[in-house]
Amino acid sequence: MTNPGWLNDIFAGVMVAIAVYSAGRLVAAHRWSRPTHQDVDVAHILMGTAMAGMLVSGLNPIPSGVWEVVFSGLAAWFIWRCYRFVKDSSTGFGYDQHLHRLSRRLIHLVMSLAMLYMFLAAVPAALRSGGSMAMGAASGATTNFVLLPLVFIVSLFASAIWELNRLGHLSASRTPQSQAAPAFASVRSGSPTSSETSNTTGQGADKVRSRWLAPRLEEVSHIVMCVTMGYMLVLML
Amino acid sequence: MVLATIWLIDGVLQLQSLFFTKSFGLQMISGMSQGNPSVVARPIVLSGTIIGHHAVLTDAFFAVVQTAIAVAIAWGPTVKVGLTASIAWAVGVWWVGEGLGGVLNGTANPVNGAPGAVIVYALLAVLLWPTDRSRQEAPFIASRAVGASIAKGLWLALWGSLSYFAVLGANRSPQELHNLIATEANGEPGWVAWIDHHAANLVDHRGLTVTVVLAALLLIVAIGPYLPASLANTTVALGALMGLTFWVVGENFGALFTNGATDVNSGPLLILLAAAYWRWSPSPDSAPPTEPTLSLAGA
Repeated sequence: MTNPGWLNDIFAGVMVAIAVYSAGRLVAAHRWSRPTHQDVDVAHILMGTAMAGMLVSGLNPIPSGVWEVVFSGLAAWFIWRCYRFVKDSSTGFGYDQHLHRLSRRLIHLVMSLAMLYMFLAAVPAALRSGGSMAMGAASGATTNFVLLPLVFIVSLFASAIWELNRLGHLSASRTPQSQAAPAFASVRSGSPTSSETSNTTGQGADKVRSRWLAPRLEEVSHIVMCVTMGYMLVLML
Repeated sequence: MVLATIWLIDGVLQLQSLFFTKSFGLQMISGMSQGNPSVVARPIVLSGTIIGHHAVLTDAFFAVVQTAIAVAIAWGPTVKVGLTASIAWAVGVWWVGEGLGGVLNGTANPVNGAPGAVIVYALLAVLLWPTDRSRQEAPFIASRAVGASIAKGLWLALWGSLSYFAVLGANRSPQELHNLIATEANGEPGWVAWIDHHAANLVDHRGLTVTVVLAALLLIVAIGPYLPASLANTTVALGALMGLTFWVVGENFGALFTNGATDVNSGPLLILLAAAYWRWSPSPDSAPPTEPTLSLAGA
């Protein structure tokens, strides 16, 4: 039994849109010297493209084996980011929650692992059905690991709801545009600078927020991505 | 936010392939009418027929409504709209989708989720209604919206009814609980079925004894909020533990692994409800209360 094609097409279309938007964010941030989560944007491009390909097999640009390597690397990257964040607690704590929340890295680690799970679980089914990567229930040994996707689903949906709740706060706390760009050149590369650790409160954080590239749209992208990934995992339960 | 997350899970579960087929309406929904009085059964059959003949449209609508409820509860300015919709939708689903949880046809058993998860959604929406009442005025979160006495009364009614259903009719027979748990194993992954088979063997031929003990424990939980704070918290924790046990053993994690679940069933809701009744500052001479960090409903 398979889901209606139009439903998968809608989700795939949304994922393509988010991948394109995230690519646009990287270009815009570079051109306008605005800070953004570079690694998160890259993750959204990769995940959006991969999920679109899983939902509509015709959109899959590269073999699943390559995706497995890509998402293993992405998971390793976010493990490293979490480790650095925890190890050097002075980096980011109290400076600006939006910029440096551990939860943001953790949820992208979960998302990377969920993508990896989906590829590993979907491949046996794809082989049976002639190579199509279209979504289906997990098969073989993966059926005994159904608790893992359930944990992913709960984490993703909780993150989506959490971010949705935060959207209002993010909007309310925005301040007029100001001159805060120079200190954040290295934020774009994902590495906090000494200025981040020294300027740790109030006004500095507001300035960062005001310079941040479309933070609400980034949150919306994240929410939609979490829901779509959750949908795909539900189909694999 | 936990309630919103559960609604979002429900909304996405509704997008499973089974619910886009006729059998959802004509078999699953209409099947809920069995054993119910005709005044209850007729709307169920009618709804099941309509849903069955317009499966794609109605199921997509259900998914959108439940997702919208989740979004409304999570999004600060619309939290009251979301909670109101949550109550209305839950009551409708309790009737049409769950046949009033088997309350009127004598099949209700708390072990497998009776009197129905959705009615707990409605209860939570009432209890978690946003209010300006401070922690000093409300001993636990659930008492903020309706006051401590009404909140305690609602808890008593819910857990008291669970206690009653536990020893209702056939539930007392020596093999009923065994059969109920053993049947749940069908279609589940190996390790879930293993839990079911072992649990079923544990209660084999001991149905009456187990249900009487279960009813007694549920009754203790029911009167818990009327006890002194520390004892109240113990009974609330017992309630959460029982919710967890029901969810794992009787409800098989809401049957989420069978591709036929429309919700997470009552276990997680009972745990969430218990959290809302937890007294965070049981000792009167403890530090001055601050705003809680636990947000159960939304903003």
